[in-house]
Amino acid sequence: MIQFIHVYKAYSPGYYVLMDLNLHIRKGEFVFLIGPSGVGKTTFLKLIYREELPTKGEILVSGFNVRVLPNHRLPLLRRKIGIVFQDFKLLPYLSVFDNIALVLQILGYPYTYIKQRVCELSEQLDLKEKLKTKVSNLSTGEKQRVAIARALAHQPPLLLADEPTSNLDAKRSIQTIDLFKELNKLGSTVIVATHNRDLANFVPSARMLEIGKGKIKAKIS
Amino acid sequence: MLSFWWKKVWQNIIHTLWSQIACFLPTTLALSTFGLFILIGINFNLYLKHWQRKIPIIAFFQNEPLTEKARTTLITKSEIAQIDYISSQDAFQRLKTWLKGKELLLEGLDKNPLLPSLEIYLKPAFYKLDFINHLVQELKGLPGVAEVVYPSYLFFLVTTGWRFLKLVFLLIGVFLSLATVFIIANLIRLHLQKRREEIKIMRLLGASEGFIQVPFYIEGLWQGVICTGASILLLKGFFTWINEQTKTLQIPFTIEFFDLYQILLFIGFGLLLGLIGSFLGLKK
Ligand SMILES: Nc1ncnc2c1ncn2[C@@H]1O[C@H](COP(=O)(O)OP(=O)(O)OP(=O)(O)O)[C@@H](O)[C@H]1O
Ligand SMILES: [Mg+2]
Repeated sequence: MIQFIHVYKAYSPGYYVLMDLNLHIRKGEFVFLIGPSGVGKTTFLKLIYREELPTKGEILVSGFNVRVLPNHRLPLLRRKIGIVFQDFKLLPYLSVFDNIALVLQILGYPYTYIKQRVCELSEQLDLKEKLKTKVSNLSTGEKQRVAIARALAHQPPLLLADEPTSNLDAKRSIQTIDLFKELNKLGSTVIVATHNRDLANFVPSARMLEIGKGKIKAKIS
Repeated sequence: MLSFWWKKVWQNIIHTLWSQIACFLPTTLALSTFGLFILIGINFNLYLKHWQRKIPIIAFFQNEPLTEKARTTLITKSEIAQIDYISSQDAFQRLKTWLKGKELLLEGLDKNPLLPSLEIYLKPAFYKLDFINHLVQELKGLPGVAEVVYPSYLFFLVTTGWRFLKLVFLLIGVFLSLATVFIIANLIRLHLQKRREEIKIMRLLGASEGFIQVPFYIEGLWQGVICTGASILLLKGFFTWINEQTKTLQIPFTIEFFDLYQILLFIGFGLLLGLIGSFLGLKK
């Protein structure tokens, strides 16, 4: 599913966030990417969905060579990925419903299906009463749940979640991880980046990737 | 799907109301001016056509048999729409009607001094200066021709003058169209700038460029239609007012407005300008 081959990433010349990274994540794996703040977790995820290009090395995602992928084919890659962004990246003027629906509209689903799917997600994430509310009027935790719902909406083969529970209470954090597990059971690959080691305890079968000082140490737990 | 795009367009309009208005005013002004020039052209053309039918080339002949003979040769010419044969008797009759009430003036004449003539009307397509000059030369060469008269300045106006005016109008039209496209393109570019964050997010979610651009195209088309619509209303009001003025002042003169077909054409043209504007605005 995902392969990093001698990947280097530097935002400014000489200062490497990631150095000589080699790793292979298989289809259907549940992965926790764990490391302290500022170590490069978000950068790692950005390389996968090509918001950032590697300074050196090759990245293969779901059969795409990300570094040489032409711009017009980039949407094809991104449609296979559901992303919970660390900063949510919601459209503040739109309602909760429209935000979640957007990704399904991009994929061209019919409206009746979109309505049904958004209702389903809003129940799972406790957003039912907020569907008509503008996102700019939500609390931070609610925004995060909208972001989670949007990432899950099209049941992507690959889910990238960047600190998805940073603003959620314990109960809702567990609910969220459960939703991820459900998606994983359907065969999707899930990568959760977090500094919260405890989160991993809820997924006993998960693979732990520790990231620190530009290197990722794989550890089978 | 469509409802999604309409929603986006509606949001675009609401969130950018001031720039919409800032775009609407100059665009409508440009399109109204453009429409005004077309209408002036249409009316001028009608006016000329009207007069063309009334301006003959007149050839006077020394006697009536020769006039008759010339008529039979000329009638075969396909460029000529109509030839009126005016005998000296007819001409005298005409003179009498013109001088109605002052017949005394004619009393000293013991015989009809007027010459018979042919009044030649051309088909509209042959109102060209070189053709007219050529015909006049030919008429002068016919046996028995005494004189050929034609109001050359009027022919000049009808031919070269009109052609020149059309060129000027065309240039003005092109200029105003470019201005419209430029204004709409700038509006789109401005909104693109404003929604940069949003577009970035849509791209991250896998939206194609087409999907992102559709609302902007709709917006450009919308601007095109709204502004042409407003221009048409504005011009209609103006023309109605002028026609009322000429009526109350009893000037025997009315100006024509666009017919339905021309209105649709004008709106279609506005749509096209909006589309080109969006296209240019979206180009990087
Ligand atoms: N666009 C950028 N330009 C320059 N430096 C950047 C950029 N993005 C990230 N960095 C730097 O790269 C390093 C890794 O950033 P990254 O966001 O990947 O960390 P992280 O592990 O996700 O941290 P956190 O847990 O706080 O989210 C940081 O030192 C950060 O300042
Ligand atoms: Mg981060």
